[in-house]
Amino acid sequence: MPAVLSTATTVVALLLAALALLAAARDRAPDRVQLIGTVVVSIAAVVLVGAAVASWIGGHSPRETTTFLGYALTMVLLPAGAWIVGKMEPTRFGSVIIGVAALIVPVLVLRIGQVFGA
Amino acid sequence: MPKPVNTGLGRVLVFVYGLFAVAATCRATVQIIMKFGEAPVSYLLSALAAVLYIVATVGLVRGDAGGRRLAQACFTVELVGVLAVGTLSVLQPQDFPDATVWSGFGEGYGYLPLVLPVLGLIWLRRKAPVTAS
Repeated sequence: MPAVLSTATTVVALLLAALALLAAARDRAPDRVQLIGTVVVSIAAVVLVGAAVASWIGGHSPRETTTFLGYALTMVLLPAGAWIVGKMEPTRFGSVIIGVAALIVPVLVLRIGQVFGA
Repeated sequence: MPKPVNTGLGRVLVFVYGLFAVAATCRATVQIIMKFGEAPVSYLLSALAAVLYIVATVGLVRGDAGGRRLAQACFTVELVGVLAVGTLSVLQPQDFPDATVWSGFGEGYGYLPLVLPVLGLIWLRRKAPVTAS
């Protein structure tokens, strides 16, 4: 699993978190910018998990298969899920939901790195 | 008519609680199926925490008087659990060969297991019909 993908996913997720939480502080509901951020983070997450699965097929299997699959699935679904719930709440708290989810993504990247064993 | 508990900050709580429900359930299931013998007490506590998160999420989503009471009961048990297990895991680490969600006051989860029930109880109190302004 290339380190550059982990770093990239972490950086875009933290950017989205900053964006969303700043919007919440300014009393803004989720907007187009946050949607674009969510899409970018989702793509990064899918690419990262894809790369991990590819190296798994290539013979490098994760140390804990079930746990890896759980984290991978969570990371792929989390940004989109947060966006859906965030849009249900058209107030500043919608932005809080997207910001919190974006903060969880770097944690998942770390844990995936640990269970995959670089 | 009491103010709703499942919108605004309440929706954030529902989201985070839902996430914790999924995470704790998966973790407890994996632990109990794969290695129950290693640390049965820890894994049963993980499972209990998972059930509490699920019930609290359901109670918050429902948001009516019953759901509110359900959520309040879960938050209270959670708070007692995280304080008790947190204290025990520091004083007698040998009793907990593997970490639970509540070990070290939830340090493995950014102390959210300690913060969430407090936040939830405050939220429900603020939104109680008597104190609603």
